Amino acid sequence: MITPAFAVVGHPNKGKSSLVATLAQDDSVRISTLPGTTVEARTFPMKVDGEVLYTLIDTPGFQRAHKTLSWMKKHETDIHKRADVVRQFVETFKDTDQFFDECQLLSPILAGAGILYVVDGSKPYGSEFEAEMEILRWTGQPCMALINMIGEADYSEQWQKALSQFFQIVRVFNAVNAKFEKHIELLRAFGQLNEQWRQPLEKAVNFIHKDREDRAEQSARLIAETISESINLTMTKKLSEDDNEEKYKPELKHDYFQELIAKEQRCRKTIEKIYHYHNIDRTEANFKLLDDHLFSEQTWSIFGLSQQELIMTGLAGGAAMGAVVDVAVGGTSLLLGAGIGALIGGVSALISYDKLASFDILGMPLGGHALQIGPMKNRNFPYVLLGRALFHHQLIENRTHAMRDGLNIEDDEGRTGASRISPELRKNFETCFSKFRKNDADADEIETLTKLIVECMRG
Amino acid sequence: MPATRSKSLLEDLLKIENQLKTDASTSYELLQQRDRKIGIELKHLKNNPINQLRAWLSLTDEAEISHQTIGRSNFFISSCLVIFGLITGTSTGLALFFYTGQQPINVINVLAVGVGLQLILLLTFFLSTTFNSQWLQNLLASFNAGRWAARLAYILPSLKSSLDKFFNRRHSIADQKIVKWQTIYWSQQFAVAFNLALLLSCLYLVTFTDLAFGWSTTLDFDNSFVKSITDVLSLPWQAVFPAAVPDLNLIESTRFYRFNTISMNNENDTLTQAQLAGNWWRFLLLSLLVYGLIPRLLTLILAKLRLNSSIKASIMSLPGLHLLLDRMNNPAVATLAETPEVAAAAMQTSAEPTITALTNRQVFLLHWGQPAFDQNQIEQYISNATGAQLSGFELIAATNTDSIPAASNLPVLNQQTALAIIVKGWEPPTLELTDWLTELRTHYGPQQLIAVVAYDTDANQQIRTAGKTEVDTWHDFLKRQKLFDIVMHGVRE
Repeated sequence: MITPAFAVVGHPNKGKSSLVATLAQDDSVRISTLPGTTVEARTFPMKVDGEVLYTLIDTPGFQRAHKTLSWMKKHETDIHKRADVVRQFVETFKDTDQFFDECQLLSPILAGAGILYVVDGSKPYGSEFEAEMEILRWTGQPCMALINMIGEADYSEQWQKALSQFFQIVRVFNAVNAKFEKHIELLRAFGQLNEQWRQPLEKAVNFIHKDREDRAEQSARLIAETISESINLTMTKKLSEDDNEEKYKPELKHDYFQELIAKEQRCRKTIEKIYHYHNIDRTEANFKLLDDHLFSEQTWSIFGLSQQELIMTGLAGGAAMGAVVDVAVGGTSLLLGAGIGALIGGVSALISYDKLASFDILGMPLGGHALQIGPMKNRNFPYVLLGRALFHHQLIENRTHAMRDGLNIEDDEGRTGASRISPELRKNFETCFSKFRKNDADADEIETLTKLIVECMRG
Repeated sequence: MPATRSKSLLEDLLKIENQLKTDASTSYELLQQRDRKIGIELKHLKNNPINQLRAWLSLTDEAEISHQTIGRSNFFISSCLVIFGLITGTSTGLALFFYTGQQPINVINVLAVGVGLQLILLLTFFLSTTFNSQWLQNLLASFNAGRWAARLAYILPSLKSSLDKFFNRRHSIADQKIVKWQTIYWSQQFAVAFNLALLLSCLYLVTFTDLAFGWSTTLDFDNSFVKSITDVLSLPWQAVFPAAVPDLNLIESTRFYRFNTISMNNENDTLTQAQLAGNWWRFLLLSLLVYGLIPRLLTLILAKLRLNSSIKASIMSLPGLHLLLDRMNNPAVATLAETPEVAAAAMQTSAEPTITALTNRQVFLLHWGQPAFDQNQIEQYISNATGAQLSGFELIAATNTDSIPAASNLPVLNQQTALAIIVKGWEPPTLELTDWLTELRTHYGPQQLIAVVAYDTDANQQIRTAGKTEVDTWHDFLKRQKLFDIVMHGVRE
């Protein structure tokens, strides 16, 4: 199977590296408003179990396009030998500084790479670019132009008209803000450049799709594990006979909350790793929102459920559990199970709204006593954690690796946290959480919670 | 040196747990690479995650993490319990079958210890494994031989820390079950050793000494009652070993009272009675086997199975475990660059662009590239932005067919006329421009005022002043190219 390669070329500062960062999902690519950030050509092979399915090549921008074209025109003998002239040009100048950037960007094309010519569609078209396009045309390689919309103004129509005279395919693609589906569309479009590239690219697209689903599921499982561990978290301090437990309570409480915060942060960090984010700018507004303390009032009001929502969820969750009893007795209970369950769920939600973890004295497996804090009693706590985790995941999943600014991910009604979850789904969450609270959950419950979270992520 | 897979599932649980903790600080890409490589090698175990994980453990390249201390603790506790069980079992056997020739061995005592007590202990085993009430568990745990031995091991400093780690692992429900089943398993080891020693000591004494058995009780039991009890007890073997079921004659003739031993009137009677008194041994041995040793072997096996299943459940509940399985069993998709990026030179913005250089001067405009607006608009803008009086306008490198004119072909300027290079602020400077600016400077000499003026376009496609970023970029470019005497004329926002 042929392995296609694509050289991303263009004038300096038109978003070539942004495109590569987005498609290669690599946030280590330097992206800057300064020209000349990309110094050398750099390859990004897309590999599945070591097998390369395609390669992207980030290149520096044209620096001396007019002079390059002048040289080539001077050495042109026959129109069908233009590619040879380009080759001759690279051979002549590859070891010099004079046309270093042109040699860097032309070499992979001469080695068989397809051309992805990137322009900024938010700035007016200029005919001086035609020197670059002409050079690329001389290589004779399949080529596609991508109109990258960097700024606010829209000159894409101008560009479209000009580019279509030089390129087989012209597409508009916002390298920084494009959704995942757009990446896939673009990869498929690369296949239109050469029939032989279609199959490996289609294979790559399928793997990228699957990989994306796997990442979402892995993140959901991590969130489920974190919620389960956080609800059940207990901390103990072994007491000797003459110890006064009051002395240890403040320290134990502090450690307990710190551990909960640390658990949440570990979960976030791992999710970022799963999506290959290593350099997220934490000063973005949305990330700052998440930086707010897990137990701050603002966090709970933004990401948790309101008291009313919590009571309604408690009622629904309790009713669902009570209904199991009704079904078990073949309906002879006249829905008393559901009724009592709802009542217990609602009242518990009301009582535990402001209640966090409490202290207990318990016996140790090998004798003696210990002061224990936890597990977490508050019914809103898992929703706060869930709301924050879903928000964070959405930030990560919807960003591109070229993005250097924040995202707006509020829904139409301006909600961000657990309040976005539908009441029906919330009921199922409540059933899960109540099992965790009773310390009655096993790996199967984590699986159920994972599925619910995936459902939330999807929708 | 790869970590070796231990025989103990518990040790592997701790090793896997530790390895996952170590992995948490390793780059995801490296983990994916390592685990997928191992995953392909262990493809055949994909549907058996526990075995796959244990094999993975033996193939990870990380330094070996020693958890042998828990194995040592386990061995110490088990050994103590087995030895203690053997000693107490033998002692009990010798005590129960102690025969001086003065009075027969009381079958009731043997049955009380070998059957009655065993059944009571089996009941507690059943209660502790069936009901999860904390109160009941605490109560039963205080009778648990495993717990005593663990407390004994706790005294040894070398085992204390591993036992601490083990008993304080409380990540999941499975972890709590591990502690429960581990202590039960230990106690069953003791029970098996005890019953085995009891049975063997009984067998030894029966084989090598001449024992006489009888039965005696203060309670008002008649022979038929005792017969019905022995019949019930013999049910498991009566079809296979009918000789090991005591008959009424044996029961009647071997009853003895405190003041009388078994009556023996003549020599024949003595022989017959002695034979009869020895006949209990089959029944007693089988009772000890069926109600003592066999149930304990079964509970030992059950405890081991439940312990292993709890450990397996605990392994499967380890945080990050499913990520590991995914990394092993899903194709590794990699899209990142293979080499690190070469860093570009940092921006230098040492000096502020001037805004007064062109004011009230005669200025000749040279536009670099194709203008984004018509000439009049650009001239108007430059005039307003710089306060200059314009004296001419020429395009440079506006199309691909244009070759860049040599500086010598440009108009001759007098000393009062400045040269302004008009650039589109959003188009970053190129080396081609550098070449040309250098040529200009050479051609016009150091006295000629040469300025670069950048403009921009707004969202409504109208000409406007270049933004700070663009002006800085151009300014930096001039500095970097050492064109210090070319002035950047910019109006910052």
